[in-house]
Amino acid sequence: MKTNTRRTLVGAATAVALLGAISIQPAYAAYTAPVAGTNVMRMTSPLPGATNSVNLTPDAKGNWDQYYGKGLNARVMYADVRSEITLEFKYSNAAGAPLTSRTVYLIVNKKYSCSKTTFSTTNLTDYPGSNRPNTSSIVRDWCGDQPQMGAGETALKATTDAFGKARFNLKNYNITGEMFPSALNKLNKYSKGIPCGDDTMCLQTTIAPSLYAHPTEAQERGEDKDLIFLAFVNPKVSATVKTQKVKAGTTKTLTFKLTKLDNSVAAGTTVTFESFGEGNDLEEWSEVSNAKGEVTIKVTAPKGTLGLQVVRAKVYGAPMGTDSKVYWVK
Amino acid sequence: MRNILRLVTVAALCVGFLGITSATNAATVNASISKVKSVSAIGADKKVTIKWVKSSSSAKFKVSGYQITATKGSWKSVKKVSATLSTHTFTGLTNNATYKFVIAALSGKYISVGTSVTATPKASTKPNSLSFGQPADMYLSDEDQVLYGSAANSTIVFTSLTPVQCSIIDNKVHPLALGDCVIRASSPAGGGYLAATPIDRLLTIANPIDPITRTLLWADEFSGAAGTQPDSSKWTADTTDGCGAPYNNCGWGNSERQYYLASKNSHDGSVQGNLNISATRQTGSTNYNCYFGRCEWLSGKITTYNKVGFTYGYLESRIKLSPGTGAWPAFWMLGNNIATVPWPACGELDIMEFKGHSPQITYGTVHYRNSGGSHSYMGSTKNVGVDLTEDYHRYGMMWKPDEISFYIDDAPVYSVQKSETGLAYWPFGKNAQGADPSFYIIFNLAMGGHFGGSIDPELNSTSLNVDWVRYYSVDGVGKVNPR
Repeated sequence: MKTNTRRTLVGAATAVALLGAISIQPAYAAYTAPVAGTNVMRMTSPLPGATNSVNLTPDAKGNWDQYYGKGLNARVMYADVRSEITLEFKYSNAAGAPLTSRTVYLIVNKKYSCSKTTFSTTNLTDYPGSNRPNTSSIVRDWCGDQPQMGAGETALKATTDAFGKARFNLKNYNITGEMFPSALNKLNKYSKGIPCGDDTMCLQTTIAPSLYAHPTEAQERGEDKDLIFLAFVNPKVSATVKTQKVKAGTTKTLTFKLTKLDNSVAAGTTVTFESFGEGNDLEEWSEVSNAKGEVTIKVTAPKGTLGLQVVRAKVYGAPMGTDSKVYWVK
Repeated sequence: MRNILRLVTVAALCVGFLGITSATNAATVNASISKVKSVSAIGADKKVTIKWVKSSSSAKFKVSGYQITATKGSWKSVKKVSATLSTHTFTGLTNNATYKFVIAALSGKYISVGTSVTATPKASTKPNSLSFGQPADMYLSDEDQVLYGSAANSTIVFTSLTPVQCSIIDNKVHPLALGDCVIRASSPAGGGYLAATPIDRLLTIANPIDPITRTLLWADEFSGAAGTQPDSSKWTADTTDGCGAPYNNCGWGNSERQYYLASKNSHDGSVQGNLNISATRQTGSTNYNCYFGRCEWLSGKITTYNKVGFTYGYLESRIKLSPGTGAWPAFWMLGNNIATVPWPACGELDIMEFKGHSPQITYGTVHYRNSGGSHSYMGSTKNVGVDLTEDYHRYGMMWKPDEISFYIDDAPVYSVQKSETGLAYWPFGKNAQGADPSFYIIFNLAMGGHFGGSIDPELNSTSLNVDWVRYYSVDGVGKVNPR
């Protein structure tokens, strides 16, 4: 019974946190104040901080922090969809002494977290289920009352070095990610009426380090750890020219530029185009970004056309796009 | 009338603005001097660049220079440049404020009618991208470590956020004290780019690992003559398929497919000196029968049981593993008390186990009897990224009374502490009576079975080659127990 309550809370907290609405008080289950863990495990690369993550720890306090050690740090971080990342964690005892040469774990797609990410990894894995093709494949978790609930949780295995550090490799294989965030330290925003639970909107994996492949509640409470909600996002699509006047009867090339979270160019991403208003139909409906991270589309309109044409560019599969407006004039 | 000149006196003020040369003279406007044409002004970060097409001189008025007047409200700056120039940049301007620029040609004491243009300086808008490579952890005595990063505007600044632990000297991190050192890479605005979001990296500074004093107590270099069997003062060959006495353990407890013969263990007589344990598919020339019928494979196994035992310390062997799917070589230990304390209570230490179909992976495992009285094991694997059958590698075990650690070529494979087993006494440390354990060494090459898996039907032979096995005490802990 307690287990079910806890699972619900963690899942709900994740979803709520990603929506930006913070729930403070538990609606049920007596709250048990957490105690300091006997071991400490923190993410050291990338290093979560004020500029690259959203701190959800205050949301956890007095609520779902009870399911972890007192030193829980809960944070939202972003990564580029389809990127390969290495996460480094440091494992130490309560006194700060590193745990060296120890087999340690990073649990990804934590069960009941509604994680929707699919990965491969070069680490060895500990996976209790059977619904995946090989040991390096990690599939999504399932939400709520789905019969496969918890099916995607996988523990990545590593051995700590002389500094108590262990590294975990993840290569994301989802085609489409979340919206590009307004900033790395801001929760992602979603259009009103589109729930975060929609597969095309929320693409996070909930990850946590542990000394155990699949820790029990008691074991989890004995660990002070970083709990990371890692969201994978699409590239940012920017119109080179947002609005312009073009003489009807001529051809104009519109350019959109795609960039990643670090502002570097995003090459090889499929972008689809839509057109609204005046002007001829578009000759292409999609293009793959080039080495400069650019896609282009030509627009034309018959002589005498007057009015607005809106060309919208979207990362393939994304629900929202970026507009470039053309006013056809004489 | 044509000689009537519209005379206007222009007083240029001395404003001394950020190094711009001031004009203090006055000039008389003469409409006969050709106006400056094609004037443009481009605003950038705190500056505006004015460009124009040079005016033509006439027979009467030779253009001697240009006067550019910048105004914003009551603020005014006048600059005179030579006739050879066609561009000028005003710097130190206020971003997002609109400036008016008037440019006129000069000819001696006369000046042409001015041509005006407006422009607004604006801050950089190009996003800056910054990368910062993860620095390696350091020991306190290490030399300074070079930091690597790049920025779109080629400007990167490293700062220590933990000045007690580390400092930055010439883009290198200098360790100062034990602890976590956090370094921030930042790229300020400049070169037309915005400031980049800083990136923080953490590296840990630790004390160098204390040198461990290892004392060699026992070894076998396997340097005997070619074809000779291992030193009988140290080794005994286990034989058969395990079914008969004294083993009474058909298939060696794992449904293995081999029949052990003493003759399959021999020195290779090479300069290096190796023990060769060969496994061959049984052909028509022999007819050994196994628990499942005619044996499929003939192989070898040697142990130090009842010859020599070991307690704690560091044990290591240099081994070239046996290729082929289904091959299951192992370098392992069992408790010497196995006759009176049956497995798994006697304990098993698997320093190296290997599956031929995964040639880059070594296994390290401990087996014991759990508090419920049944078999438990804890262990892990390491994928070294190279084929372990292609060359020799060192497989080691650091054995402390409360901790077992397995290594390959000094890299950790797995480590377990007694506390993780939940046992008050485990078979690898002192027992309830305070007595230390003693374990014996085993080398064998099994084929198939529960661990080895299906044997490649195309495989007809394989071999395990052991260069040496060496046993050390560590900081005085560890002993050899001859029978």
